[in-house]
Amino acid sequence: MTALDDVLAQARVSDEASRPRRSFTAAADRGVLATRRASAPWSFATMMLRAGLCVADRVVARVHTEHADARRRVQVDVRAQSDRWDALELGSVLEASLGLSEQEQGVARWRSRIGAAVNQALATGPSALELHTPAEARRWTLHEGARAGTDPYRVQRIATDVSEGGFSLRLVHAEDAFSATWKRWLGRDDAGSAIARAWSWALGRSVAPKEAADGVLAQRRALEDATPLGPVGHWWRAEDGGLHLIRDGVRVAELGESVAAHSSLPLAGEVACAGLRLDVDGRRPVQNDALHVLIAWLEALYPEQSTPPPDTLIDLQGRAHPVQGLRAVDEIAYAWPHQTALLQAAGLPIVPLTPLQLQWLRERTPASYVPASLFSTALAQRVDLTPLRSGAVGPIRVAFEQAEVDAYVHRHAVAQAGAIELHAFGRRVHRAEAPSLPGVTVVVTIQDQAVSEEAEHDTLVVAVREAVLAEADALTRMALKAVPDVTTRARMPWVAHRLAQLDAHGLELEYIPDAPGLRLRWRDDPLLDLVVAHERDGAPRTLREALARLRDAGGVVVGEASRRWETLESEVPVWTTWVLTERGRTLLDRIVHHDALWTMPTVPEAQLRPASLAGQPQLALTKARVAELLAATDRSSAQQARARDALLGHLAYARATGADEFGLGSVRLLRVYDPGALRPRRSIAVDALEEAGVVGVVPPRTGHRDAPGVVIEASPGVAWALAELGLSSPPAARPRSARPARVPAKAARGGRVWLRIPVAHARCYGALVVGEGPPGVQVWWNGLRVRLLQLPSPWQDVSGRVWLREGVEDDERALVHALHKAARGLEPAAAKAALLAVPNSAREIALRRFIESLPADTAPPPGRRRARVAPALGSDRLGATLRFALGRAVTVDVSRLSWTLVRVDEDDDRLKLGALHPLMRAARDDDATGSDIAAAALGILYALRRQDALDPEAFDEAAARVLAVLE
Amino acid sequence: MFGGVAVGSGGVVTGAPWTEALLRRRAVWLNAEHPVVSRALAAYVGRPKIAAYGLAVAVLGRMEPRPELEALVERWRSFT
Repeated sequence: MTALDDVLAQARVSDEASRPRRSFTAAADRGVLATRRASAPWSFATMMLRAGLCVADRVVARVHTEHADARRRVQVDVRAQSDRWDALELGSVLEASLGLSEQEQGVARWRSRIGAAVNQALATGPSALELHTPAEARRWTLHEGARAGTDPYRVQRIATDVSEGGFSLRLVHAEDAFSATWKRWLGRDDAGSAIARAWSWALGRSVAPKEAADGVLAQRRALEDATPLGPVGHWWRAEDGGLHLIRDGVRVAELGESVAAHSSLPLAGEVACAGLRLDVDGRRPVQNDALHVLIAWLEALYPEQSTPPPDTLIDLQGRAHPVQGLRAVDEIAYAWPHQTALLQAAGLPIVPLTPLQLQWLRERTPASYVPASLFSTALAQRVDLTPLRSGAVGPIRVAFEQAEVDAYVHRHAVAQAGAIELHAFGRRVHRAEAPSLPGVTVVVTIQDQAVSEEAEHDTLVVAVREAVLAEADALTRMALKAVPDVTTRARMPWVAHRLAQLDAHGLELEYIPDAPGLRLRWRDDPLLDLVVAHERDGAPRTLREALARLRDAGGVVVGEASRRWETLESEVPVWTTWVLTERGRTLLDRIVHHDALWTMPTVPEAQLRPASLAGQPQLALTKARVAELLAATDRSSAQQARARDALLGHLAYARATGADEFGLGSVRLLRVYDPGALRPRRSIAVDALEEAGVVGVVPPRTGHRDAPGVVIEASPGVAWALAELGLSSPPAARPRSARPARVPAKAARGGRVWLRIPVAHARCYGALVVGEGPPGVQVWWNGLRVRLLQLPSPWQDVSGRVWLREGVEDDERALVHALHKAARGLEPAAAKAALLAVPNSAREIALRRFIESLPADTAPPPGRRRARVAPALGSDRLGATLRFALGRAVTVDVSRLSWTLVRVDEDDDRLKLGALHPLMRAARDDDATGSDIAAAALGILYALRRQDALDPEAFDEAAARVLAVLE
Repeated sequence: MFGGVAVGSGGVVTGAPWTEALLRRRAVWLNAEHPVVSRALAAYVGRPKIAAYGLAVAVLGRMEPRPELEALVERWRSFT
């Protein structure tokens, strides 16, 4: 079992009790421990060399061992000339080792190597370990009381004693308490000679223990001495035979065995090949395309393998393709020479080519060359993009480093699905659904690159999706430009999706300070150019202009096309009347809420504007008018909203100018959003703002559960007034740019629900639940969860939620008694629900288990239960039985004058039963027994089966359900 | 029609079509783990006739060609 398998096995064992499953920290922890367990003896000394060679071209390494005070101290020093020592940072260095990526360079690479070195050194079981660099130092100490499965070493920062030019690793082992691992690995050997042997292997030359103690020179291989292997890497001749992979200038793996399985040539030497992946233990190469490419290049080094550029390509079927005659439309499937023996038997039209021949042909002929591994049946057909181009708008080129990414936006309403396709060599090699891009097909063309593995495809798809989503506005702009017709483009799935997303959150609507008040701000979006209204003279007005009006005037004056209010309608540009289009009304309602739409008849000039309060004397009201408006607060919601705005206007003006407030400070006029409350929206008085702990003001309907605290939801005029009066400001934490996550309520509460029964009692109301969630009934009062009640046995596993009617009581027993009484209803409800559940379903099994868990005195006697079963289906027993048996809501009609047992109506969801049929007569009789009903139902099902209206599996399940009703 | 009915757990499913000729006077072996059979067995305790009828209907539903409905109805009526 590899180290990775080990981690996966541990992850699969469900231990939610000890740790949350989704904890990434836990995974990193375990990864560190697993790689520690899997590390080879003394590999840390080699890893030290690799770390040194990441920051310098040549290093000198030394090992020093001493025995004192019943302790063995081993010190490995690496010395090198580098100007990057100060940048070395040791925070979370063990976790940095997990990636050990080949793409990282410089200091990041050093961090991952030194992290691996420390982790491997900890595998020897030292009592303490220190790492010193010129920048900082750390000490890992063995902690005896560590919990099983966690790292027994504690890390702490210490003062460094290496001033410059290298780093040191120091291990202390208790001499008399050698760990089992240490003994097994070490045997009777001295640490110095073991490290010397490890270095001998890594450097490819003999290193004596004395030399290791004095200083060993390690340096990167010079590229001038190497033979290039095309784009794959480099090869160096080695004296000692064997084929080795080198990384960071030292040998890390033996390739001979893996390569010999595919190649008959005695390949030898040292290879640097960044694309070659090693298995999780880092000892063998992964058997993939990259290995075959490497073998092909290595074989090409042999003189007898070097073939001249071909005049004619001859495939394995014996057909000849003259090189001169190759055209751009021709496709040549090729395989490497070492693979042809395997493919020969299949007799495929494949041409064996060496890498050099392939390079030569690609440079000089227009044909495309496809690797044979890709030329399987599933991918044999080339992809034709013509239908995509004709049915879609675009493409638009999305900036992406690794490949060409083209996004197409479908025109037709039915093209709802979004997809990301990877194309290589003119073929589709991978396709992934992209639900976040409805109506968009993204074509990713991978150029001149061997088709990689599935796992890499997924990574690429994720990266491409992020890149395309970042260009979402460009996609929308392109679609709007290409399809000028408003109705057609609104039906395009992508535009419809973007329109559905267009709300206050999507536009990032927020207030920003603009002394002495606040100003509305939003994110620019191409959909803001949609026409949402027309002026009286027919001039179109866009959503962008509507938002600008909100910002400048505080609202939009809305009229009707068929009616005019000559005396009220204003000529002032910001107050001119708009007639909203149907879509415009929906959009504005959703984005700014109807509070900011001043619907005629109204006096636009009298509204509260986002401007200095002192300059708005029109807001002042008389005492009589205030009383009249206060009385209006119990009328319809529109009048209520208007009255509230007028009263707020007066209050703000009075506060600013010192006029009489008429006691409005204590009237609940403001609406706040409290993210911690069960019902988050409530009204509040201006005087109570401080007490409520309000943290800021946001545009209407933009409060959400992730808000930093209680926020006021106010229109631009009110927001300005609150800011000018010093009562509120925008919240410190900006509203989230993304839409707040809509938490699926059931999933959040954990697990599936098998049964829910209502609780209605003088003290409380709510529901009791039998399900997978944690046990205990949550008791809520006034928007707060006050306690969690565990019901007494046998209802200890029941969960649920109840709200108190009166308030929190001291006497918990009375409440438990009420819930206990309600829980008695669970058993018959569970019996009925189990009966109606799909036979052998998880729901049925869970409910049966619940019923069995109840003691005998709670459960009714079996006889009584059976008698109750049939009535459970209600008065329309035959219809209910059939609906239950078929598992869908069929309509059951009875033809009074028909002898035919059953006829299926054309729409398939209507069954017409003949009342004169003997089975029907028996079943419709007032004294009909359960057997009569079941016999008729079974007869009807059989008739449906004879008419092939039911397939065998559906028929079996339906028959089983009818029999289940009888139990 | 059948020579007898026996219930066993597991068994061999041949996949051959069930014809009347094939089943005539033969013992029919039923798989006790099949949902229809297990339900019929459970129902048999309280209502043996309808359980047996249900089982017969289920078997006939699997036959090729499927017999007339009216023959089945007549059997049921004489049965009760």
